[in-house]
This record gives sequence, C-alpha cells and structure tokens, in this order.
Amino acid sequence: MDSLAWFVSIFAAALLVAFFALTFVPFFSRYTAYRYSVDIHVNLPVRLEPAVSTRFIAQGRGASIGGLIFLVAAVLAMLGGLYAGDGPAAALWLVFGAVLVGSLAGGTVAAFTGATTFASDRPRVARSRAVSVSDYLPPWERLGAWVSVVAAVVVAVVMSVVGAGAAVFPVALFAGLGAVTLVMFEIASDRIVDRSQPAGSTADLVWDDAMRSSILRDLVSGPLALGVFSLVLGIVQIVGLSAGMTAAAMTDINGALLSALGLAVTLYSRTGRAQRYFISRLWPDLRWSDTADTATDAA
Amino acid sequence: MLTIDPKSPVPPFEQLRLQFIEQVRGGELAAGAKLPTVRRLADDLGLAPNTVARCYRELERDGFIETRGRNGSFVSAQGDAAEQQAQVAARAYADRVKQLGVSPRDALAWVTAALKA
Repeated sequence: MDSLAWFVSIFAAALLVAFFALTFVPFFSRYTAYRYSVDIHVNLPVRLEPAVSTRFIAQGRGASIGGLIFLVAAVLAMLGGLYAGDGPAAALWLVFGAVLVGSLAGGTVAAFTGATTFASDRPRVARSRAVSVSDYLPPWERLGAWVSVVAAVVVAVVMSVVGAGAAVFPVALFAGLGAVTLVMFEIASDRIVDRSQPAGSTADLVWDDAMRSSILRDLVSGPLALGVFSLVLGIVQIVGLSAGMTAAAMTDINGALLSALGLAVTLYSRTGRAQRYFISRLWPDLRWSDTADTATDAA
Repeated sequence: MLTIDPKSPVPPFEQLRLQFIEQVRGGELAAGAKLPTVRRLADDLGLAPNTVARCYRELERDGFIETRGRNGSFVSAQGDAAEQQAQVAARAYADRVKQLGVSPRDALAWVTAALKA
C-alpha cells in the first residue's frame, strides 16, 4: 500500500467512526427522525419519536460498523498481498467499494434487528390488502439498479474480451460488487416487506411503512451507485483509450463525471416525490392529523 | 384498515369478517385486490392463524373473496355480471395508473371526463 491508499483508508475509517459516534448523540438521532418527518410531510407523534429514532440509530450503527469491517478487510487484503492492483487509483477504488458494500451489508443486517411488542389487551390495526416492494420503492429506482448493473457487467466483459489490461479492474470491481449488492437487495427487500407490522394505531403503521421505505431506498442505492460508477468508468476508459487520452486526463473526467452524478443523485434522493412515494401508494388520503397524537404532543 | 379490539365482546373472528365485508361492499377493497397471507395477518393482528384462516374460508364461501392456489386470496367482483366486468376493468385501469405513476386525482378526473363524454 502506498501513502495515498493509507491516507484514503484512514480518512474513510475516521469518517465511519465519527458517524458511529454521532449515533450516540441523542440530538442527532432526534434531528434525523424529525427531519425525515418534515421531508415526507407526516407528523411524528412524541410517543413514536423514540422508536423511530432507535431505528435510525440502528441503521446508522449497522452501516458504519459494516463499512469499517469491510474497510479493514480491504486494507488487510492489500497488506497481505491478496490484492496487488495497478497503481494507487486501483487501491482507492477498492477502499471505496469496500466501504460502500460494507455499509449496505451492515444496514441490511440492522434492518432485521428489533421487534415491536404489544400488550395483548391493546387494540391492533393492520392493512387489509397485501403489500409488495413496489409499494415502498419508486419503480425507476429498482429498474435503474438493474439496468445500470447489467450494463456495467456487459461493459466489463467487453473490456476483458478486447484486452483493456489494468483499466478493466475498477470497472469489473464495481460491476461485480453491483451484482452482489443487487442480489442482496432483492433477497433482503422481500424479507423486509414480508415481516409482520404489529401496530396499535394508524400512526404506528404509517411510521413503520416510512422506515421500510427509507431502508429499501438505502439498500437499492448501493447497486444503483455501483452500477452507474462502473458504467461511467468503463465508458470513459473505452472512449479515452480509443481517442488516445492520457491516464491523468481520464482520471480527471472520471472524477468530474462521478462528482456530478453523486451530486445529482443526492439532490434527487432528497426530493419529496421520491421520499413520499410510499405515501402515494399506501396512504393516498393521509392527512397530517391522521398521525397526530394531539393531546400528548400538546403536553 | 382492520382493527381488532381484544376487549370487545364480539369475537376477533367476527370483527375481522365484518370489517372485510364492509370494506368489500364499500369499495375500499376493490375487486382483484390481494389480501395479506393468513400468517402475515395473524402476526399483524396478534391472532391465531386458525382464526384468520377460518375468516378467509367463510368470506370465500360467501363469495367475497376467492383463493387462487399459491397466489393467495383476492377480492371477488361483486354484483351482477355487468357490475363485475366493470369492477375488473376498474382494477386493470387502477393498476395501469399506478404503473405509470399518475396521481389518483388525475386518474379520477380523466375517468370522470371520459364517462361524461
């Protein structure tokens, strides 16, 4: 490992540790819960805030621990000579991929932890019709993940066949990781939606749906990001090599394109339409007062 | 939405059955809508699976729902033949509208306009 790879690994580890530490700050978890409430335009009753915050905390801790474990594994692989990529850029891609996949794996595990228990003498509510993943996740996000990963795998295979040399490494790495996380998403998403939703009120059910939607959108963002990154890298490599561009120029183009894409995806994921998609499917007539716990909240 | 009150003098099975019937008759559960699995609904409501299974059997016997093998239980079309056909068409339209991501308000407005034309 060279000094740049060390620097990036330590920087990523510091970020993950800082994020993990942040989940122990009560204000941060409460802020996250209420911020989400504002984003999706659904009132968060005071009595539900601890449960919602706890789930955000579990997701954050799972993602940061998963990212750290995979990061350590990637560093050990490089130190132990299991991977000896071509140049410092390859090490950076490996670190980035490890953190992303580890965060997703950790977040997936966290999604299955915790269970709501209810006293047997309390009224219970449930939805009278079956739900599916498509009720929680905008179709274009799931389709986008599939299209980008499949296209990335095709580009990686084409590059391998035509003998693109070391340039194929990051493309194949991200395409492979994208395929793995896509399978992980498909399995986990069905399991998450199939889990029971014990609820004592409409607010309980709406917020359980909200958390499911948030978790599923996080999970699908993994293969989507990995697929798109792989595709961008592959296309830039193919175009760059055929046009006789230097490695430095291609790195600059990659950096600019990936930064722009990252920004666009971040902005999109914050849009109300994507975040409120599950409401349009499951709660089209939901009003703010439906989830309000007026007496408790006023107190 | 289904609500089961354990303190109610009405048995849970009957509470469940009556609410399903009310929702089917009121149009809240449209023809073709898929019901939750027996196990899932039992878990959600804290009931024994046999209670939910018995409810589904009685609803099927009374023509409110139909079981399509492993695909699960679905709401049956109600009324005479013409009304049943209309309900099936409405279900197909609603599914297509959801696929296209069109808002329910727009979809309803177009149907209303088409009916008036």
